[in-house]
Amino acid sequence: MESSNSKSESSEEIRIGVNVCHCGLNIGGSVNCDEVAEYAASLPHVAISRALRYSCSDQGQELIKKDILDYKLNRIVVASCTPRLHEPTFRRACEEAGLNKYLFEMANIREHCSWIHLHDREAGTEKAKDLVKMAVAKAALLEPQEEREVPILRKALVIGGGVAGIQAALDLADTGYRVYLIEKEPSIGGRMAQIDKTYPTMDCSICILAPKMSDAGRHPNIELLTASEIVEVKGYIGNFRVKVLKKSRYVTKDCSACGDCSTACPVTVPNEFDVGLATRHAIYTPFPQAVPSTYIINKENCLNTNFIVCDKCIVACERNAIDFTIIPETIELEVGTIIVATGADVFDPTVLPNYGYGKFLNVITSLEFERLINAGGPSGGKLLRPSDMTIPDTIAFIQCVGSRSEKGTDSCSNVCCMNTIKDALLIKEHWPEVKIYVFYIDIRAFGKGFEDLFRRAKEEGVIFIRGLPAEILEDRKTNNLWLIGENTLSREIYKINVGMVTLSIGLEPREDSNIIQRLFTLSRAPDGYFMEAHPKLRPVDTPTGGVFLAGCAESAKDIKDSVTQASAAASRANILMAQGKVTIEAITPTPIIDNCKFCELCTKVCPYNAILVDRENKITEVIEAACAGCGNCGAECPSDALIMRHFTDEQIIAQIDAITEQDANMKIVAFCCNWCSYAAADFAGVSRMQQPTNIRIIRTMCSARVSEKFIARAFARGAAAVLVAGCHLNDCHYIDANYQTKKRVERFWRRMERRGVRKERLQLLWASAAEGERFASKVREMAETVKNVSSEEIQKTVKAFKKR
Amino acid sequence: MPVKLWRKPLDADKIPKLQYEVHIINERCDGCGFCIDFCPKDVLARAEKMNEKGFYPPQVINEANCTFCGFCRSVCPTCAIFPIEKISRNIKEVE
Amino acid sequence: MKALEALIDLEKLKYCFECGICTASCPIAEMLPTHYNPRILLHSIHLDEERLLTSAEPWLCAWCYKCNQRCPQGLNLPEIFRAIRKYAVEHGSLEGFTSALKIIRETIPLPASCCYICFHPERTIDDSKLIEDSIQKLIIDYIITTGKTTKAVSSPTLHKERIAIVGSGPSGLTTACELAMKGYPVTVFESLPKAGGMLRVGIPEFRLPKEVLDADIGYIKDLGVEIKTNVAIGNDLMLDDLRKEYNAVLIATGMQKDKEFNIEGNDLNGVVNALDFLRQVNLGKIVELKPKVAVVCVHRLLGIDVARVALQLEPEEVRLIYRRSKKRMLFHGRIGEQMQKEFKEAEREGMKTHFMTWPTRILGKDGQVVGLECARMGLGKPNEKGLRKLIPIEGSNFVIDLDSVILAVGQAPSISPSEEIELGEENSVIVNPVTLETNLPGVYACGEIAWGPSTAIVSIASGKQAADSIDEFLRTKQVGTIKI
Repeated sequence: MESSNSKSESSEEIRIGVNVCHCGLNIGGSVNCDEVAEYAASLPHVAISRALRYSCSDQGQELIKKDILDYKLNRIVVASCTPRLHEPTFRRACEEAGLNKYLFEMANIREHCSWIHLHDREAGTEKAKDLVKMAVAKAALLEPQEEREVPILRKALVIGGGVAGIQAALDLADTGYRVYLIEKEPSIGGRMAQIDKTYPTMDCSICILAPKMSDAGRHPNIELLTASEIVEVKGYIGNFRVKVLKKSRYVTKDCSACGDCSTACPVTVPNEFDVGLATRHAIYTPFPQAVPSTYIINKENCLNTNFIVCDKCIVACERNAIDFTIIPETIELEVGTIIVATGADVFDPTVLPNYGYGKFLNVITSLEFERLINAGGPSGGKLLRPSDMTIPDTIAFIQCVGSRSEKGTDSCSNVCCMNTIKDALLIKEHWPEVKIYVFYIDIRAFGKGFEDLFRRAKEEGVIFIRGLPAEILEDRKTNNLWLIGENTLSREIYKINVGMVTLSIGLEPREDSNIIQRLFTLSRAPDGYFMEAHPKLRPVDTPTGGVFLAGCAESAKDIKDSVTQASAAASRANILMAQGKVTIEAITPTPIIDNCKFCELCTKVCPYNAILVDRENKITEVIEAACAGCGNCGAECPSDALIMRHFTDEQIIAQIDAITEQDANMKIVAFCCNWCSYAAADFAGVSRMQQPTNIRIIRTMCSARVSEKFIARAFARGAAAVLVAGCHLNDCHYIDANYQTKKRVERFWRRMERRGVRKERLQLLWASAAEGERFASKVREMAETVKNVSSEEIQKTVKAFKKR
Repeated sequence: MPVKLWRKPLDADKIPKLQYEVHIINERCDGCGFCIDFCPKDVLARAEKMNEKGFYPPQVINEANCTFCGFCRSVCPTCAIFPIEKISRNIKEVE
Repeated sequence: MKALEALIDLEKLKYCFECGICTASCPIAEMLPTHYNPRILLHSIHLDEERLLTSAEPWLCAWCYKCNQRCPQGLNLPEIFRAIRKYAVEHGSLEGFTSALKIIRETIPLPASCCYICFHPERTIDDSKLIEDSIQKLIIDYIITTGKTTKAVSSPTLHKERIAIVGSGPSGLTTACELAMKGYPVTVFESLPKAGGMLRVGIPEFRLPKEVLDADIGYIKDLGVEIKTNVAIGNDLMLDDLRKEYNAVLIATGMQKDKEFNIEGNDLNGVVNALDFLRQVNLGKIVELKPKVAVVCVHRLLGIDVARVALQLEPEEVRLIYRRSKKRMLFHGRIGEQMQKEFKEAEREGMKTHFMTWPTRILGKDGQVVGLECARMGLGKPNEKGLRKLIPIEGSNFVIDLDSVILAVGQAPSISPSEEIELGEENSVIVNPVTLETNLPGVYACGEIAWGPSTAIVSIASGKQAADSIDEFLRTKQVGTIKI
């Protein structure tokens, strides 16, 4: 769209200003910066080159700005630290001097050079020169870009009506936005509604939750959609179109929740809310405080399958609020932001046969315990064991059931330790004579007030034994249970007889997480929970713009953390909606219709479905707001019909050429993705992990940007080796784009084999941002390979990959 | 909530369990067997004795299972079968 | 110790949170609390590596895999200990092995048999002669010392309470041995002509030589235990009679019956059950097999054992029929390794195999087996546990001509000796899990009849538990005092 604009820019003379930063002694200590600056001055298009002590300082920036005006510069290169740190700083400076910020380029001579070659000043200086040359070569080809703005609808969607979802919905509704709160169960409330008391304050859970639930139900800005599920999501940040399947309740709004229908219903089935400890009817309300408080008919349980049989509820209902003709409907919502608060499942201990859950009546889960001790629960709040409905004289709690274990989830479930301590104290409060054992491997009482609670439990006489039971055996006569395990502190085997056992079951990602993942193109951590955009600094954002996380959907957490996170997510969504618009980084592809063959390969690899190809009308369109700029499409396109802005083929090839101009046979051309592998190289630098000087890194947004032609180009120019590095598979910041990287590299390996080139010379590395050592050792390993590459071999390779 | 519900609910015995009787008018039955086939709770089976018309009417084999769904009544082409409640219609009285 | 670390997945080892489940599950740790603790042994890989070279502990693992099945981190302890054994052997240290043998002889009942079927030194030492010699030495050793032991413990009977044990399998013999050493007069009743239970009639000669078992039983007899063979309780003698005559009765009849296999034609002449077949052979009866034999195998180890025993009777051909793949048969689970070894032998001996095949019916003529109709199995969708369901492929049925079918389906409990005893799932005897007492006072049960099919070492541990419990009952006349 700004092609006419850019042409006029590129027709004028290119004048590049280069600034080589000493960064005190950080760079200057092992790189001769003055020499590098002098060298830069000799490069084509460079109008001015100087060395600066601290280029990021105010004076440094002022000097850059002054240069732009004084020397009529239209490109700026700064050779200093990693662009992940100061690129925004220098871009701003450029803009302040009237230069488009996309005309700025950085050479990383600190993390990728001075810090990893501390003891070889000469080689370090030579490498720094190369890095500057690469930056200058790219800078000459830079184009000004305009960032597009997209409007943001001031409506939000919250998925999941647990405490996190309720909090997020209330925060946003109170701010004044319209909020749709979607819950798949008949009532909002979630896990917190099932729990009896909360730790560490021992507040009654439903007493503090119920007001919030009814607030959410009554709020003029909140539309509650219970018994509803999301079936389709389209659109992008600010403009999502979401299809919701509203299941039929078969009860109209006229319902006054009198309960006559339920009393009349002849069907009794286990109540899901009470984890099967109590019954409900086919027409029911899950619990008294349910919001909305209308009844619902579970059609699977109902006898009235064909409109002619049982009609007891219809007869019983005085307000004629039951209507079996209501059918499920699909509604479409348009929203600007989405908060995913889908919560967590609990571990199913039937997979551990040695604990006998599902076989021994008196082995219960912690969730069942909550219902059992709840005044509104099946036993009216009395601590009765299921086998004979008596108060057990001894209760054992077993910790870490399904947590920190490959049998459930590897991670700690965060809530079980304190939940058990709270439960133990509750028992002691009402039935002080009951003996309580807690079997644990570590008690994690890390939060505010947690340690006090732990201490109180010990004071109350709760016995903590380190070492989990290996086996629970039932005494058939009494239904008492024997726990057999090792006390790992005293190294003795214990055999303890108790009346009831509570398994402290862990939390697990929702079974249907994959559906939400697919609908919103989220990524999931190895433990299955949704992954945040940055674990420290963007903990509630997701890689998909406009979608935020709250509560146990992100990881196992307690009520306080869920509420905190919900408010944070609401606040993040609020920022977007308050601005009403969002700018999109101009790194998205521009289609060249003339080149396009409408083969749709790009749409197949795009992780965001951001490219629309209309073969009939010969239209190829990139939805900029949906595109994240990974460049996967650009690498896939066989006919050069997609120009990846700011990471164009020409720019990357110019960098490759700059690297391979001299001594190519000693060099490793590396392509690193911005998020993980480039950051890993940075981390190696920050940690001063000394490495050989062979490697030259080209930064791309994603490893999927690396087209096979780049690799071929490097080999054709005589490079000794090529490294393609990206995030670990499944950790990709562009959902699954790096699977394409893998595919392309594997394809290139086959090509090398066919052409008689050693496969070791092309390496593929997955490294996370924290794996500096992994990156460094790869560089060392490849430097060894480089030594073994003879000049004949290089000649042969050049020939093999030279374009005919 | 994909939690497996395996227990007998603790209050299951306290729920007033309604009892039903299935009435069969043997002489009316044409022996089509629909009621036997359609009964969702397998309450009915074919009788061993023929009726006067020469058909095998259904017989009740498992009355405790009847949930009073009324399916048998609905499908019977000769109106020869119907269930009724054994105890009072008013549940509140039972409680 | 870098070499050792390379053998073990050390990264995973670091995830051990020392929950103690392995130790509390281990039958050896239960019997030898002072000698063996798998958790601490695992821990010492990091801390006390030198000790590992000479330690007896890695050699005391009896390969029951209970620890591995229950470990929250899924650590494969037996394999880790094997790596340690291997490491010691490669460094020329057999000290651990020899001191382990000494511990086994002194503390484990039926030590010689256990060396063959539980401790498996051959899994790390290739030199089979060395193992043979060591075990022989062990046997001779305790035959010599028996004289002393008998005099020291058994001849002046310390206690007058008499104990009857029904069944002379590993658990029954263990209890007999332990109680005799405590000074009780013990009588063992065995329904078969020879003592030893499953050790004698369920395990083929090539896995446990009979003379080894005889040595173990001889030792127990020398302790003063009386073994009455050919007496079936509930038949020749009633349980009530025993209860009148003896102060305590232990039921250790095991699971000697074959599980029933429902297939058309299983009553034909020529269809035999695997355990019956093994029993006949092992008791030295002359068993005549028809020339063409098929072994229908559900229980893999039982199936391969039976096939090998059948091969020794030299019929024309022996076919093994298994419904899953060869890979699953040979590499799945804890018995995988043994399976591979036995399978190789069996193939060498001429066994033919049909994998992914399952019989649909046994064909007969005049009451005699003439063939086996089988169907090929296809794989369906995986279930929750990832195991794929087997679905017969339509139209794949074929008939194998044969005249004898051996059904190796699995074990079922022996018939309970009395109707008064309360039975649980699959006719096992219900016991108090800690005291092993049944619903009848003074009557105990242990081993497979109480806990279901298990390895010999688990039965032996159970027998030892029963002995302690009976002793406590007779000494204090009260049950269930357990220290914490």
